[in-house]
Amino acid sequence: MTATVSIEALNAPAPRRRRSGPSKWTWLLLGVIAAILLVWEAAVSWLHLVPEAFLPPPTAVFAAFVQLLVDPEFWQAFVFSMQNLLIGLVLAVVVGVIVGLAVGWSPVLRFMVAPFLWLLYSTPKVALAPLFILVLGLGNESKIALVFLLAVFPIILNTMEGAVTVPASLVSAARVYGVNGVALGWKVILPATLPYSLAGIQRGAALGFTGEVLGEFLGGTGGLGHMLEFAAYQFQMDEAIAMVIVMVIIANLTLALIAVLRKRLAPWYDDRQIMGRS
Amino acid sequence: MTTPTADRDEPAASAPLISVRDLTVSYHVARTGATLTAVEGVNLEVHEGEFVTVLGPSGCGKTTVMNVVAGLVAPTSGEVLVDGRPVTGPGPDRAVVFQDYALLPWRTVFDNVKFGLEMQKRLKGDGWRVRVQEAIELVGLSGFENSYPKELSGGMQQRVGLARAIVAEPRILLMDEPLGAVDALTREVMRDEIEKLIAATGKTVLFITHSIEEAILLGDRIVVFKSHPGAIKEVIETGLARPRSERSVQSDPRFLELRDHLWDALQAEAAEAAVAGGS
Amino acid sequence: MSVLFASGGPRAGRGGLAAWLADLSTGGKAVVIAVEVFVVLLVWQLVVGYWGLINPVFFPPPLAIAQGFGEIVANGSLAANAAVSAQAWLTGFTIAVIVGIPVGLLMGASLPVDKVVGPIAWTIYATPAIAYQPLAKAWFGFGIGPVIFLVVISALFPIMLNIAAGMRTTSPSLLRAARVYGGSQLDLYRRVFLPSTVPFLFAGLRQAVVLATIGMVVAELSGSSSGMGALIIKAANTYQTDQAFAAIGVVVCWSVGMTGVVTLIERRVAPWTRKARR
Repeated sequence: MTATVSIEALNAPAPRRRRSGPSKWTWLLLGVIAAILLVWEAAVSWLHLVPEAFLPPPTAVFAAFVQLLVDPEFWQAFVFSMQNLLIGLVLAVVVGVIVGLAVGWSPVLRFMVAPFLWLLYSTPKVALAPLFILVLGLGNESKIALVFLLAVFPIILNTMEGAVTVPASLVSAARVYGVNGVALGWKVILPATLPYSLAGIQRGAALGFTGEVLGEFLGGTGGLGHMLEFAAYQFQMDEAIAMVIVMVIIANLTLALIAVLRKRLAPWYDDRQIMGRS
Repeated sequence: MTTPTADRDEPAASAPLISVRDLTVSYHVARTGATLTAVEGVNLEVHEGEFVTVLGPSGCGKTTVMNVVAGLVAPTSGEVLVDGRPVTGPGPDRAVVFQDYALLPWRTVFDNVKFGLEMQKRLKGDGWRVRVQEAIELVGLSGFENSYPKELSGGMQQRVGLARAIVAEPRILLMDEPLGAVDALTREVMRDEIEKLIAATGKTVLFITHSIEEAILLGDRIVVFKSHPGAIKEVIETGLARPRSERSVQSDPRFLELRDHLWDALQAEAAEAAVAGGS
Repeated sequence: MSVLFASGGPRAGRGGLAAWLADLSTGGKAVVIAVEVFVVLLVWQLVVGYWGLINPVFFPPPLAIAQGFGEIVANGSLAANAAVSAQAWLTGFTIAVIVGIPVGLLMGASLPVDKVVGPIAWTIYATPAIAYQPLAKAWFGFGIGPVIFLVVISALFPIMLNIAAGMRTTSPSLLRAARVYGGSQLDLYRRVFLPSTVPFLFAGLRQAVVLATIGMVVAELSGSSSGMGALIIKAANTYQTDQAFAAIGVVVCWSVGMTGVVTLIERRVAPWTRKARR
């Protein structure tokens, strides 16, 4: 093994992990971002290459961002969106994990149901958004339903794949020691499936976010998506870009949170094994 | 008891093909900031046509020595000479057979075998096609020219690796536990085949293994490694007549004697390693 | 998909239906699934269309959807809108491929580029593309522009990041083999890095197809006067949900069809990946 490491360190033309200093790269990244912001600021405020109304400079966006943080209206919208997202996601997780385990566990169910699940999974379900608003109205219900619908399928299918790939030897080992029935599910199948479910939840959260924002775009009575749409509609680009940054932060924080959960709940799992699965 | 012969009385006339002189390789482990010595003070001479097996526990640095000879790893101190010239990198006089086969999954058997020639820019004219085909036949893979590695068993994949090395016509074959990942039955068959193949081609071989039987069966000389740090423990002449086969050798009293001796040596080494590793 | 038909180790010998299904030939399984699909469609038709247990406006039965499909074909709205969508999708996808492949390769080949572009790309990728839609609308107007923008931003990152990952996970042992035979740096890239990356490229393209379609629908739903999304929302708003469902079906076919095209190209270009997944 040592030999392999050495070859990579000495001669690899492609970058491998070289932990000489993560801080070095962080500084480079920060430098590049600062340079981009500087060029942006210069192009808009000083050289007037782009009209400010079209693309406000970073300083204006930052000011708008600070304004948002002290705006009670923003926090109202924030709570509105997050509440719907959370309710929809919790429902999706509960239903998704139960259905996924059941379908993954039972060959008959899998045979009967899985093809339909795959079909629904690969369907761009965002197209159903107008129908949801038609049926459930402009309020919270349509958004929660959209979040649920978009989030549930990746959770089901990832959990199902996890349950299918629980090593047979693991199940046999548990049986040898007399673990059976519910205990088997609880002690062996669920933990073995957990990393897969969490990967599904990660994707589900991103899609659920899409559902919430789209719901607000289409039938807007409140929420961050509505606020963003409104700002862009009024051509208040500084506020619109600030809102987009808020969404980028929310989306990335959510993913980071689930990644932390994955590390805490399933630290034994090699991340790369489930990478690339969608 | 056997007679371990650490220093061999060689006829002064023939200069060694490979000579490893006071080789030390250490790595800087960036993560911990420590320096890890893989091998220390290794001296070894291999003569033209010799089959030398290198035996030792995993992590003893035997693969590192081979990588230095192959030109994949630079020595920290000391040097390796091949045919009197210091090794500065890989060269057409040496070919490697890897433990994990290292076949390109996107190439068929034929295209994998020609890979070495291709890298060495030796695909001019038409002669190479015949040679590739011959090499494939030599390792018994006729009919599989258009198969992908994924479609072959481990043993067959390693035959491809062997053919790829042979077709490049190196003077020295470096084999890094070539049968380590092959199943037990196939391994026994392939040992005999490698024995025959090398006997027929007369190549100089440095063969890394952690199997005692393999080391005895194939080697003219066995170099036993110890770990922490990796260094040569002893060098033994097998003194078994060729041609050999699994069957003929295993009933030979010399084989049994060697096996017991090596077994004891590795056991002692493993016990030491366990103590060192546990600290 | 193969996972569907795997007769999972310890769960197999349960006898009855499971055993019967496991013993079926591929053709037999196809027949069972076909029968199943037919039964589902029949029940759906009976429950909604015949017994009227669910309001058919909200959930039109299969025959009504077929009729709706006939209507949008006959009045020409399908052809007109599908052409607009296809144009936007193909343009956006082409841009994403043209930009994503070289940038991905550069990220894989150069550590500094990877360390700078990587985090930025992941941050944008982690945010659902819908967040950028209002900006696109403000900047590019109401035509095909924002749709193309959203398709690009949806498809670009899966292509780019998969290629970068493919380059970086190239087997060190293959690189060693190439170097043993004196392969030059150019040889390493041409003969080892690039072919190793091909399966990752296609995995990225498949993900990109799905995400690009979602991006397209989202952009067209919220603020486009033409395209499949616009057709869906117009139909829904006029309570012609049968037409909306038919249009959604067309979008699903597009998504599935394009994924099929990618897989077909992969089989031509990279036949060795085919037998890899059993």
